[in-house]
Amino acid sequence: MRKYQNRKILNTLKLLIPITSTILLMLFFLSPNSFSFWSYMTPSIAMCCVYYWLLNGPENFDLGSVYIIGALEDLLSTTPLGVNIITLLVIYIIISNQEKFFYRKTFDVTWWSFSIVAAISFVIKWVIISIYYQKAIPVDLMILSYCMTFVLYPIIAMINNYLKEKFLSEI
Amino acid sequence: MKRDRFSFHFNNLKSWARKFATVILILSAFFIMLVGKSDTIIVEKTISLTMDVVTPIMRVLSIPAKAISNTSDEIKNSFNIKEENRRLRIINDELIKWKSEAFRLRIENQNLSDLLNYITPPEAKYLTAHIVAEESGAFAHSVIAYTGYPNNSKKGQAAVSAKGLVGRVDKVGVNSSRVILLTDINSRIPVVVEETRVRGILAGNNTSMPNMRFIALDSEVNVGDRIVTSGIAGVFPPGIPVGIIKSTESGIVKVRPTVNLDQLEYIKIVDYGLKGILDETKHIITEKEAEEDKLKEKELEKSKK
Repeated sequence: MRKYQNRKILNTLKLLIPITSTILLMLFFLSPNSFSFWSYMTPSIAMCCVYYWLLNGPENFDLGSVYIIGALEDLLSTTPLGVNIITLLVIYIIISNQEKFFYRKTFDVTWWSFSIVAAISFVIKWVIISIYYQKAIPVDLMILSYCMTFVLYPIIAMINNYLKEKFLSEI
Repeated sequence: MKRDRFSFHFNNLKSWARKFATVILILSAFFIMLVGKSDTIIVEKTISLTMDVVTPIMRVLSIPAKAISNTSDEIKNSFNIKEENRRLRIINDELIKWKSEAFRLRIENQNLSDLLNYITPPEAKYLTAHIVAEESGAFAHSVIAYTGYPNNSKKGQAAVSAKGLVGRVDKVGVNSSRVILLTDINSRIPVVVEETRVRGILAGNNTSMPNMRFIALDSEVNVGDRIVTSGIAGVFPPGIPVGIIKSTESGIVKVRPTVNLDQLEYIKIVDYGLKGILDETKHIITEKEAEEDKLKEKELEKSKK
């Protein structure tokens, strides 16, 4: 009986892996480093993780998880509160409305699809922030951040894939 | 029968809520944006609490990131160690000359101050903090610094490094503070050109070079001029190095900060005893402080009577 209960608790904890790993990856990439080029092309790790888990583990990563991650990103950043929530919810809306297009595709296809989804999210973020400050935010830096996010997606997907295979495949 | 009808309505409501959940959440995000703009106590406290929870995790996570950057630094330094040595010898020779000059000027300054009966301002108090998180890029430029407990920093205080101004404290938690860098779009710092004394406001624009704005039309501003804080508004003391004018093309004065904001490891949060906008934080007082204030007021009234 006890063994069964322990297993149940362990399985419940395993279900939290997508959201926990997303938060930890986000925080890791916020750590200071001495690469000056990096600071101008900060990638959006939350975007990569949200996209990956919505495609590869939607049963453990729902609307609430997307909202929580967006809220955390907002609270840690000096961008207007709520912007990151909206940006990530846009990804959720796109994926949930185009299920047929996104699911069960090869990695190349999902990667290129990510480039479109991330571009839409970045543009929406840029528009909202520019309206909020009543001033256009520099586009060149946003493009650099977008490129970095696109390039880093395979690495983030690899890490998340490892976690998924290791912990979530047994459940 | 009644129960069935209730469960039917409940299920209907549930499916309706699920359908419109995304819309509701997006609307709630816009609502949060409006609340955030008003900078209420709830927002302030939530951000501080999040910072306090996240800071210990960030400290652990920054260890591998720091190790990677240290290794890359060592490799980089080992390549130009000879050049660095030569450069440092030249600087050292110059500094020795300046040291004797500084001694002479200090004595002269002391003598003149005595003659004028000049009262020296109180010395600043420093709080050294370790950077545990940095955010930069197109949308925001800020850092989270681990100050330790108790956190004696206050909103609005200046954050400096060895070379000059870094930014100002924006949010204060129990063991951490968030500093808005001078390149951030929210940053506005009253500055002055050191030689010509032309005043202006250094406005961040989320790029590496903030703009100096609100300069008088006929004022003389040249490339290479040093910019320091003007001390106007009473937040920062005058004379902290801020940057150097890099270009003045088509009326836009671009300033390169003296501090390399990409490679910050430690900052000093400075309490100069100035109030300025710090008074705005007076509304964020705890119940205990409010009670203490009331007691003090009562005592004052009694003593008057």
